[in-house]
Amino acid sequence: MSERPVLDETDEEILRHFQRDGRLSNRAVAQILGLSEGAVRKRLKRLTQSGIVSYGLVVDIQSTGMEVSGYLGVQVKPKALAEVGDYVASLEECSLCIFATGTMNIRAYLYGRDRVILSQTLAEIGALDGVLRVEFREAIYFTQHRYEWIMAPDQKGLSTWRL
Amino acid sequence: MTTHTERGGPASAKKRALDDTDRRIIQTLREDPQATNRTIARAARVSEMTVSARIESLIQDRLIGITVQRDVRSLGYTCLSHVEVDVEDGKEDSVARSLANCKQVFAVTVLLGNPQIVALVFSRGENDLQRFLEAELSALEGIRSCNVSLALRTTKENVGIAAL
Repeated sequence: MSERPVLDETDEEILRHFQRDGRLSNRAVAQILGLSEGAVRKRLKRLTQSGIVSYGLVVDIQSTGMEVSGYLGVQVKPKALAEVGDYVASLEECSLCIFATGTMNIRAYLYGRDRVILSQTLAEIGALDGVLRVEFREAIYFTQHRYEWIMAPDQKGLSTWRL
Repeated sequence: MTTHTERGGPASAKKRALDDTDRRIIQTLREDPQATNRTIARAARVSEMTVSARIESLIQDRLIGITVQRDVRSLGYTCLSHVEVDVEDGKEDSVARSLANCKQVFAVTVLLGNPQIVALVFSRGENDLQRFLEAELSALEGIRSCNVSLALRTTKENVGIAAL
């Protein structure tokens, strides 16, 4: 990301509307806020070009055809951290991967098309050099996911999921 | 504007399955979330009215969401933590719902077994995280213990999938 511009109150107002409904037209938002359509377009352009915001479509977990998902914790020898981390992040079934403090130094959110496939994935991770322990905690449901926020990861996206 | 229903709970019903028209519409929207109904209609080989009605229903049924995604650093959040929360038996749903309302909580998941909840929490740094843990998390009824792990680096995030 290049120079990070500061957002003023009008930018924040515009974003609030588009975050709630990304299909709104610039004209509709301009009308609500009492701005010209050109002003909304110009502000959005500045924000998207700076990399702060982007239009996005998200698909619900249930629509991905994945039967099971949850948090993965991996305890890895420090020497193997980067390599194991790359492996986990490269999995199509991995939607989030972090290097973390604590005993489990890699944490990720992982999906499985079914439990058998997931157990194979976990076994493959467990067999990597330097892995001491693999723990998986199955999710039942979410009460929150602010998908309108993104956290500037090294690797973003992957829209290759089969639906 | 679309009004969303409550997010899934312990007994949340299974959502309807996507059909081929839904898939074609989603594919086009993925490439360009701002595509006009006319463009989508052409790609999905259906009428503009069908596109408009389908998108409305996909959003209402919480199968897709169309939004503007924002880099959290522009909100001042520089620090992500993975917080495991162990709660008294039977309190997991109420605690998970209260956590969902905390301003800087990114995601809350109820899991099988103990600890029953994982929350991903953003903060403006260590002091802000400390404040969250003391003033907001500890104030919730039924918390037994929590285990906080800080993200040193986020190596991957798939921004196209959400718990809707």
